Amino acid sequence: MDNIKINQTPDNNLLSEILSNTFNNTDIRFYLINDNIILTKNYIINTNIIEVYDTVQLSDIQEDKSIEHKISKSVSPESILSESLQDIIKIGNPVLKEEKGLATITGFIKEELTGEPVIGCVVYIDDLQKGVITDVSGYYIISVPKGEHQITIHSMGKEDVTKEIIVYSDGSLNIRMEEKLIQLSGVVIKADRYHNVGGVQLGMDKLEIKTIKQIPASLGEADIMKSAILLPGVQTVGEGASGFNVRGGNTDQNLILLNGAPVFNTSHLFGFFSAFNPDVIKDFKLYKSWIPAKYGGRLSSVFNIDTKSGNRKKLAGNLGISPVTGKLTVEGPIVKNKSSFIIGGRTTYSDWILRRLKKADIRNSRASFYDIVGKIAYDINDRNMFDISAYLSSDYFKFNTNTEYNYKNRNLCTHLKHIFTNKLILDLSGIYSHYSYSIYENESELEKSNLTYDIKYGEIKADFNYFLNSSNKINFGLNSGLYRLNPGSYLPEGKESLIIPVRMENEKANETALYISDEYDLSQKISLYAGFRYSVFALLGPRTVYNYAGGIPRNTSYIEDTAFYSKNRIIKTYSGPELRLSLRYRLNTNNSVKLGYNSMRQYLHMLSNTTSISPTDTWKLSDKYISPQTGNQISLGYYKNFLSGNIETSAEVYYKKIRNLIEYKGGAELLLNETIETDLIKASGKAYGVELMVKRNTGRFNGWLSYTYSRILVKADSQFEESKINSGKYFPANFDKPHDLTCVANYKFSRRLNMSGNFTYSTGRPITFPVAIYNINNFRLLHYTDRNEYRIPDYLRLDFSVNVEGNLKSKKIAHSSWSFSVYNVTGRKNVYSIYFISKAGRVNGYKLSIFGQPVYTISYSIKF
Amino acid sequence: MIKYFKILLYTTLILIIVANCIDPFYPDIEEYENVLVVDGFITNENSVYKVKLSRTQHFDDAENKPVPGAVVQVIDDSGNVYLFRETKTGTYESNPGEFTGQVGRKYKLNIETTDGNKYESGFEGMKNIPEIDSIYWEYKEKPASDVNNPYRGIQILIDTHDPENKTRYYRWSWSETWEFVTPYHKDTLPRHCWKKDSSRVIEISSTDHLTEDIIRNYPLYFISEGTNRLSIRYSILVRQYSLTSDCFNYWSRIRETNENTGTLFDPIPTQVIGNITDLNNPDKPVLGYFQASAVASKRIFIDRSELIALPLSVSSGFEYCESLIVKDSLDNPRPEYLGYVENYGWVIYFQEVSGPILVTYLTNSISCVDCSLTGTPVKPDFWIE
Repeated sequence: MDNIKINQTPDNNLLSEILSNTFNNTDIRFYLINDNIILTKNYIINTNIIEVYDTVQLSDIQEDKSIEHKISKSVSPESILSESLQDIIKIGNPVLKEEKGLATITGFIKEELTGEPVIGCVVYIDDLQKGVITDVSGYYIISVPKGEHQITIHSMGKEDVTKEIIVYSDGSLNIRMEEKLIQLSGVVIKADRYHNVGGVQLGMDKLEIKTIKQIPASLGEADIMKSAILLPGVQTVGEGASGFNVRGGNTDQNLILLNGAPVFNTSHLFGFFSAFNPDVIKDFKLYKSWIPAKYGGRLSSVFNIDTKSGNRKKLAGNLGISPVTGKLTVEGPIVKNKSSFIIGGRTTYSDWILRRLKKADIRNSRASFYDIVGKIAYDINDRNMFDISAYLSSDYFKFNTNTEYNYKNRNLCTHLKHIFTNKLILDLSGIYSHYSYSIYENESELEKSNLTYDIKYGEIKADFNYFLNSSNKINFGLNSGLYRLNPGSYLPEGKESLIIPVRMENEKANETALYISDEYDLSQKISLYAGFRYSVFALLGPRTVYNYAGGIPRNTSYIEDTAFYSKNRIIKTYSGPELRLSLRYRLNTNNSVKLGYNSMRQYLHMLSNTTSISPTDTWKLSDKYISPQTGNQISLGYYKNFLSGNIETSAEVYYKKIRNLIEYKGGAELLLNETIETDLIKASGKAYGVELMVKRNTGRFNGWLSYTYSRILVKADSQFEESKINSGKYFPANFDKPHDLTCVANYKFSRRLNMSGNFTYSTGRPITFPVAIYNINNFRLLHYTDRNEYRIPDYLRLDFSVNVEGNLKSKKIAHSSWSFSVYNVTGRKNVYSIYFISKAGRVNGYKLSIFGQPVYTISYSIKF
Repeated sequence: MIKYFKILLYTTLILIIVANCIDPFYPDIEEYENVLVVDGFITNENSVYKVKLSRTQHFDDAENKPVPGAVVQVIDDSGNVYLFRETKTGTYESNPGEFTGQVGRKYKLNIETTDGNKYESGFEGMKNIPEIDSIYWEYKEKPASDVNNPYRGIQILIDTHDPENKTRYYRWSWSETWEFVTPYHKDTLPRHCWKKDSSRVIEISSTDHLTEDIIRNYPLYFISEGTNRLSIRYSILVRQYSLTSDCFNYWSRIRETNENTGTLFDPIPTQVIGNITDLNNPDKPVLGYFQASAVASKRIFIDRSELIALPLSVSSGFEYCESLIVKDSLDNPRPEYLGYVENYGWVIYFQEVSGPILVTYLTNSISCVDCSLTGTPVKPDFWIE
């Protein structure tokens, strides 16, 4: 500002009069707030108006910010944080307001209390019925026509912020959101209130950790994977089975990302727990139909888990105890408001419990696990943000025998966000994932051995968001990853061991993909998402490849020649385009129809011929004989909101074709098999279904009810009998459970007391029964033919939980809460599996149930 | 609180990992696949070899379905044909003394059924088998549901090795014989008997992953103290067979398919096909395996006296037996034992008159007196006292 000379004689006048006289006839305005005098040039500050200037175009932005701040603090205590409609925010330079057209608003949404970015929150222009979602840094960008609008910032568990804005030109608007005062706020599931109808995406669900924590858990431990199974279209083969199936996809077709890095084994204790500590998780998003072009590599879904960033204002922590686990999380600022850390660890005392049990075979068993997650976030400046996170999970178990299992996940992710301009943003990440397991056999000195398996994956991702104009949001980028697998080494242990060492040749491959997508708003009614991804996979040497005689099933006895590929020589490449399309047609504010198509490719496969993922299953890369799996899905959805979005309903139908599924010949040897291709069968699948859902997000009583009808059929046909399953006809996959009804309900009695219940019903999974009995050498044996011709009885379960918060005095040092839950209230013996044993000349059938009685648990946690 | 918490921990864990419940299941299986089953086995022993032909049975059907009238031949690798004749419906035997399997030779089985269908096995080599190095036993406690009360007994183990490292694939079967006595006796009824049983579990092992062809401490059989096997004297004969690797794989898959544990980590059961092909319709499955093995055998005895020092409480096998000796006067014909006989099914196994008194010996089961009902009173030839 220029200097202005004030020439006045203060003769006991009020300061305001002096100023008034002084600035009369100038373009300078003054404001008196308590003891502060604020001067502005050109702009009028109305006590009810907050001015926000474009950070880019005006050089004196810092001053302006201070104005904003002071006013908001002194004039209106609720100010910008509150839901006061009186405040009108001006954005941009008023000088430019005469020009017609569009302006771009950008900014960060952060939590008031902790300074953490609010991820995935909706920035919505109410009058335009248009919204965007903040990214992992809490950053958003939206284009609006110049003029007055109403903007609403909505995020689950936070107070909605609604503002009147006047947009003059491009500008920024940073907003801090407050936690809802009531901890147990009613929101249950949030697939973004505005997005249900307004967004382009189909088949996407998001669950916040708070919701997950309310759902009754089997072992007193909130579990993100188990909660995901309650969503429509997500299924599991049985209780305690690890992994899940999305719209008829195998468990290996889910890309499970923790802070962007894939996690190859997502379970603890063979699947009774998921390997993610709920205290450190912020939320997860599950894409099951529309999958953004930036994701690839798996057919069925992307399960994206984000951990929290630490509290940027003060040191805080959380301590939790449940019957099986204990966990501790600590977070806090490193440099206040600039950087933060969070570290959370969890372990089990199951070992200690096992040792105290009476049953000998259990008593001699050991089972333990732990996991640690840590993250450091650092805002270098307004344009550069950096974070680094690490994850380690480990499992160990031993069953009354001398075999010890151990598996570990180790992940490291670094992420840099750079804002070039308001329109171009780069997210650059480097990730590294390492999964390994070992089986130590100590039964006899002669056969003492150790078997190890390893998969390492490193990837660079450069992801650009370009906001071309108000109606085009372009996303493009490059992913390039390198896989290194040790498919198994089996080595003797100790001097006496006679084990012949086996070292399988390593597998190595590069997978690179380029993608571009545009989210295009054709009109108010029609939005289109068009994405294109092209991926290239190259299997690299050194490696030996066997060539088999043609015209007969591949067999080790008919290896015609053996080719050796030297280091980094390309053995086999696969490449192909992937299309991701989604079209939204908005009938009116509360109704929309969406149509989607997507195609996916998968180059990494899990080899598993058991019903559920077992601790010894391995991942395998595509090679000369194993083609990439491909999937094409078309889906159509209808969405309708009632009561201004408080009740959401949706109906989606889909049809999916899957090619190059991997199936197994009878007796396939999946471990340490150098000619695994001779044991594999190529199959194809088709899946279709309808998903219906009603949910209520707010109010004392909330929750959702969903019904899914879905089928997944697999076909393995071949010219060779041994490569056929069920004579080459379609048969139901292991997890084909046509009917599924889920109800999750939550009732809030008071701020401190809340009750949840959930009910699940599903058709029993398919199972293979013997079709005949025969006698050989005095043994009575079972004869099996067609797979999955029968089903186990239907599954039905009711769970219940009560959450009690300690008193809500804000001055308390620590805040405690209790959670009581009953899993399987009715004690129904849900059948987990049916099997037949031929013993001592007799054949007997058995049914096994895991939780045959109600399971009561209690857990306690303290926040400080 | 701590105590309560502890209890809670126990219950939770027990419910989760331990108390999974297993109930019998009686399926309603309508489907049935009717296929030929070939049970054929030749050895290098000088005996009669048998090939049994049958059809698969329906799941609920206990009845065996033998296939009579077939032409069954074993052919060796130098073209000699040995015709088997049907001695019992569906059972075909070699002519005694006509041929004996020889180590190093290969054999195949040819079948022609009455409907004109032809079946053939692949050539199966008869591999050498080393002697069993030793059969021995050790005291063992097996975990039971109550940790303070495990299953006690003795574990029979075997050691074997092939210095030429050629055998690699082994299978064992055993037959056991034990001596027992009934708790009560009568002169005309045998009290001292022997009983036999044989293995019903597939016992196979391979050493193909080891640098040397050595098997040590193979746990063959566990004898529980809960039976009367160890009550006096016990003997076990172990037969050790050489297998080809294909045959080993066959048995190992049979075992996997029939001894499922019900977890989701078991491979999904599939059809197990052996080395026999339907020549008219090669895609049609034929069950069974034509096996040619060399045999080595060994027998050991275990006497009760060797077990005295062990914490075993060996069952007599007759814990259920009760007896009554009723002395009644001859002139009073209201013997109270008649009530037992009529109402409880007791048996009068002996009556004698001693002066004016009628002495009646009663037992709740005649098997408590007559050992021939559960065993044979004839001492086996091999029995060494």
